Amino acid sequence: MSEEQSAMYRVLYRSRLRDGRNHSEGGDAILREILLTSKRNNAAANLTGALLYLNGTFVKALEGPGNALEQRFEAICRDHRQTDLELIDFDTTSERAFSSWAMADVNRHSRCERTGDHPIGPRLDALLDCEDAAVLVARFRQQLGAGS
Amino acid sequence: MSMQTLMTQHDFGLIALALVICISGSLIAVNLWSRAAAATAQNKPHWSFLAGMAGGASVWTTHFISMLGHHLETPVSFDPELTILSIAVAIVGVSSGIFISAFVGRIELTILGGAIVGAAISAMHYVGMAAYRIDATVLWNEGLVALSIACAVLASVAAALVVRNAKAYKLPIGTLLFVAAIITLHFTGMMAFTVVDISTSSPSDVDQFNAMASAIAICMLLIIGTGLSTRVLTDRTDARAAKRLRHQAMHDMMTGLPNRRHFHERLADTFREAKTTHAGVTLFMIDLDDFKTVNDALGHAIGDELLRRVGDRLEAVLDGRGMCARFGGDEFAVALPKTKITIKIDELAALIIEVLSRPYLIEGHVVEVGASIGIVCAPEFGSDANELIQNADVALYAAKDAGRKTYQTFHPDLMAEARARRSLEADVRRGLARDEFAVHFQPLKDSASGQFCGAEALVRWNNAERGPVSPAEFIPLMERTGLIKQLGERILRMACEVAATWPATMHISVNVSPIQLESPSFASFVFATLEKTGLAASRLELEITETTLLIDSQTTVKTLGDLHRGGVRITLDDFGTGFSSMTYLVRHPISRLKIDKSFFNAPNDAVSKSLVRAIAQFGNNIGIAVTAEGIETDEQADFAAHCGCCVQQGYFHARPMPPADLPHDFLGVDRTQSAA
Repeated sequence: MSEEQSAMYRVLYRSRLRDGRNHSEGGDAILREILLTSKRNNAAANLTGALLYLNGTFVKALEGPGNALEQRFEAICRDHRQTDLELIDFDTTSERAFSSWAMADVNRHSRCERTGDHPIGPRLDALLDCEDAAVLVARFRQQLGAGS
Repeated sequence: MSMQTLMTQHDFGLIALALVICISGSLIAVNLWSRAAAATAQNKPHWSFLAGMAGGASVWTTHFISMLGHHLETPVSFDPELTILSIAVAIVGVSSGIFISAFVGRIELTILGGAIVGAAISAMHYVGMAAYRIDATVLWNEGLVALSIACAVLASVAAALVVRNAKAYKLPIGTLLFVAAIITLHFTGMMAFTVVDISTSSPSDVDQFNAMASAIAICMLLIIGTGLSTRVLTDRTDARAAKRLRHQAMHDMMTGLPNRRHFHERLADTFREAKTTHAGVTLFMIDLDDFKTVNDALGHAIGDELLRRVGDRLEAVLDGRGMCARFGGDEFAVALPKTKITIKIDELAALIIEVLSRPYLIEGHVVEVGASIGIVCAPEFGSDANELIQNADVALYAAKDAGRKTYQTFHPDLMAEARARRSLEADVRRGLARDEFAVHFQPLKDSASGQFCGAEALVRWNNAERGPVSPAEFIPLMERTGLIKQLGERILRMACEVAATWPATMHISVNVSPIQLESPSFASFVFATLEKTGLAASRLELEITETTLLIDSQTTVKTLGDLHRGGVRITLDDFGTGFSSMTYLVRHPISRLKIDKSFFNAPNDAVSKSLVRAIAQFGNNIGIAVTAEGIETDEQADFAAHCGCCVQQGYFHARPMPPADLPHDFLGVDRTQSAA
């Protein structure tokens, strides 16, 4: 793939759904929509990632070529349905952690869909495709703990 | 002798064709002519050539087709050289005439050019007639020849004047006159032409004439077609260019948002509409916090990209609810018609601040800025666009003053504050110009020996109208306006000059603002000042505040390092009031701490006591000297000494004073002499 030519970055951030949408059906619908658009846009831009959602808080990892990643993140920052967006990490990475996932949904096992494949994997660890897995899992858990 | 004027025998089909070509060709020619007149000097020759081409070809074609339309009972032929010459005369003559007439600034040139066009039409006709070979005797009526030329010249001059001057109907009137020039010349010219003694041997081949006429007509139609396309194309290009120019004039090139001028016009429109509908409008003035820092640290390319993204985010948040514009720099404005706002203005302002303050990932950098907003509502606080923008600026200023990432809604009290601030700023500037700022010195005592060991330089401002003004009042203003650099340099120079006259054991402390340390040239300025005044670097201490370190600027860190390496000591002032992070003391080259006076105000407070003890002990352990500030009583002095503060400062020991009032034992004047 040509992506190896430009530096690979990973961004990890958290955000919340804007007030009043936390536990309602509206929140759920937005989550589904975010997942769906993420998958579509990410596949087109050669980005991969994972999304964790609990009680109105998102934790999302996105990885890919620097330029595409920055544009994607900027588009996310323009979305004002989310609030308290906080950058946790932005750095280069040698390999993708979610190389086979356009956007893995890690908070509901039943909804873990592998791109173009059937639902699998009950555990977050199983979604990860590289050795940084343990670190990322720990980060996710930590953020989940902080966000709930 | 049979005598014939040619007027009597016409093929009306060809004459009609000649007329159609004459009119349409003239229309094109006059259109191009007026373009030549309007074009820049550089483009005039090109338009003139095109116009002359169309005009000259029309004249020539009209002439030849109608000549072919005159049927004579005698063989007719055309001399090839003269025929070619006649078309060259037409095109070159008409082109030059139009080119000269196109210098519209001088009417005599227009008239001259018009006359040349008329002369060219005439010359073409008579050269053409010379090319017309018939087997008969030709008689010319010279009076009519002269009349025909006069008609052509007059009509052409009139056409030139119409092209130059007419406001309306320029094209139809100009065309009519040009057509008149051609037709009057042709038919008067033909009346002047009589043939006698026609031999009736073998008449010319009519079919061949018709074929020739058709070929000429087709060529002419091509010219007309080209002219028309040119017109359509240039019109379109002009329209596009005009549209682009208009867009450029109305928009900010960097973000593509409307610019200040455009915004102002639209806001004025909103006010006009509001007069009839009574609907209000709310104006937001938005300014980024720390944009300058981003630009300085990461460069203009990233700064520009940041501005583009800010514009995009702003538009995304507004979602069509208002118009946003970039006023220049990092200043944006939003106009919100009240009818379009469904959420509270406060909520929208908070939302904009939140979205603009989200991190920006640009070329591998994480860029963080905040935004401040000034809000003003019309018609309550502004009856026109100017007033509204002014008031929004006042509110924005207040928001900036209140801290980062805040918004402030305009109310009239802010105006009074703004006026007071402006007046203070004007006085400060005047004060700097008139050298009203003086330096006083507060001597410091060594805890162990009880001797003076140095002094802190303190700025004093005594304004003629205001009286003495507290630094707490004017320093923040000077920091905001950048005037602090000028003042800081002056204070440092004066302090070093005075201190250089003291005994070598006396050190001098000078306060330095974070703004000064941000300047990359600050360290070299300090060293230059030391050299000029002859003060040893080891006798100078620069006092910084925790805020300086909080900003965490690369420049500041480098400056502090340079100063430290050059032998200048750095003191951390007001320790214990802010974050008081111990890591600052380790990470930066800090030589001294000054424990804030609030800790000594209540010497019986157990918490304060143990804090002072702990800080002093910590400092002494890691090799950082500790000074106690605000010592006002005997008891406080004992306490400070007991805790390990090696230097003391306060009214108990000495008040700040002008250099001339410094005590003898400070200045090292011989004690026995002064006692005697």
